[in-house]
Amino acid sequence: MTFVRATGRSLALTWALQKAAFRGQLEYRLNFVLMVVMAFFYQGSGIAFLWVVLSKFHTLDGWTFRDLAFLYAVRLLAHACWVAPCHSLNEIDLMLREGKFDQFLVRPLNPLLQAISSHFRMYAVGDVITGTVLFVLGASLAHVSFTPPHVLYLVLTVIGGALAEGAFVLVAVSLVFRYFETWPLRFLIDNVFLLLGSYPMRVFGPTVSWIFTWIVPIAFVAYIPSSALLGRAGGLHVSPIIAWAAPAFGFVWFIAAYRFWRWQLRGYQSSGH
Amino acid sequence: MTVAVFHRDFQRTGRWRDLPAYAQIVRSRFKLVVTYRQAAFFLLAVVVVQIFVLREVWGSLYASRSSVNGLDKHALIVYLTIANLQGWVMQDPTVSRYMYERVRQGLVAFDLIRPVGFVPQMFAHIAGSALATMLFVVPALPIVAFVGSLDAPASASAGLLYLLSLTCAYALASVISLVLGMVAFWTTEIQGLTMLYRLVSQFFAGALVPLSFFPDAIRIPAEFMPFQSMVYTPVAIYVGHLREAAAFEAIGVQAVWVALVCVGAWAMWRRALFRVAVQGG
Repeated sequence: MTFVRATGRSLALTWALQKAAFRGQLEYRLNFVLMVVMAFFYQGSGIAFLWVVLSKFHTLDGWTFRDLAFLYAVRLLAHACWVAPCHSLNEIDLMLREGKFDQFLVRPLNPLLQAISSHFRMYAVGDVITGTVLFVLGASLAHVSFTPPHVLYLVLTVIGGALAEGAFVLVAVSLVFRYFETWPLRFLIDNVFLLLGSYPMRVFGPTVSWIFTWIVPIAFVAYIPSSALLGRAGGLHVSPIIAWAAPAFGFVWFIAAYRFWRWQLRGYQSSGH
Repeated sequence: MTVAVFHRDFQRTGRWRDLPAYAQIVRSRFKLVVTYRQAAFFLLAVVVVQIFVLREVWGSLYASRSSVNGLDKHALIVYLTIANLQGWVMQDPTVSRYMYERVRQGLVAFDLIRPVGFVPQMFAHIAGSALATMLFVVPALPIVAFVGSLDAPASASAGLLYLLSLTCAYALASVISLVLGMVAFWTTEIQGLTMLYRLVSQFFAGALVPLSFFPDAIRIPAEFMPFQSMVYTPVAIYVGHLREAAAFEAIGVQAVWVALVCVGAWAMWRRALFRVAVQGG
């Protein structure tokens, strides 16, 4: 019971800190508009690529533009769902270098939650808006029947996908206690999830598909769930039961990543010591 | 003895007087990039993943077709491989980032009072960074050839024209990065702009899809933008997609863009000097 109450209190505190950070950024209105436009271009160039090649070739491994737009949007929504609350972790290198992390260790809140709620950057809102707009478009283009179980599956998929990406970002973030500069690795992770997660995994061949299903769970973020929702589960490289259990993989990976963070945290040395 | 003194005096007069200063900038920039090589390797890894993804996606699109728009599958994969590698070299943010930081921190004042010109200093930074990049590209070539595909140019003349076109492309990319950096004199904040430039230029330069594959609705606007001159033109010449008259015409367009951007940069620089606001000064 104490555990539940403590967790509730931690989350309430995190929420309050996030709100404060967000209000601080609302002061810069032009920056807000620019960052939304940027997110739109960033994600728009990927969808523009699909649109251009499919207006010429019509299908990619049997997927039409409508289906691909749906897959792309599910991936983007999962990405936004991770980025929106947790993007402050992108500044972990600086937090350590400037000694801010010392503060996190003496305050009565989980250091990870404090790191998460320490800043707010407007590009996160841009990602959420772009993700939502593309999802509405993708969902209306593709022929998906939104029955209540499908909607529940989709919600769990987006959370699971966010946690799958988050797990790998968190592992990279944890390495900061040993290597100090982790942004290049996070940049690579971000791009690998974007590049390999936005297409039907099958086009990359069996070996790469296997690696990015069972070692790095990118296939579970969007490819496997969208296949299930679009009635394409038969063509998958995993059994339909696993396809419907896709959201669980993200949860499992994230728990493992959190344990890794806890383990690496013990190696923390304050800067200047 | 006399000869040595004479020699030194000879070196330090005339227009080559400042050469040692520039050489020093080139050397320090080179060392800086090599010191932070870890970051460069991760960025290169992203390029490698991108090339792999493009190869597989395009391979699947081509499926059983032998040739589309006059490009066979092999030539297209070579195109995409070189285009992305070249795009990585071209989009060197060194100078725009350096100018941004110097303007923000007010340190640009020190760059401006140096006895050598500011703009040549920036070109020395570009040269140093380019040398370091070349050092990274060489070991990357076998990996890139493995995930994508590399091949000799379509013909000897295609190879020569490629070098000419690549020079224009590199000049254009360098001057544009200088212009982006100059914007900092007005706005002091250019991170959003450079990011936008990177995304828009990558797409319209033809690094993901050759321009000739674009539907008319975006191909025609793209032909009026400078981006195609940075990637599409040289690489399409390399794989023999642009030949003879079309190749010469495309190089002519590149030259016009280089001239236009240089004039623009010069006009901007004259005004930028009056915009210098030294933070805290």
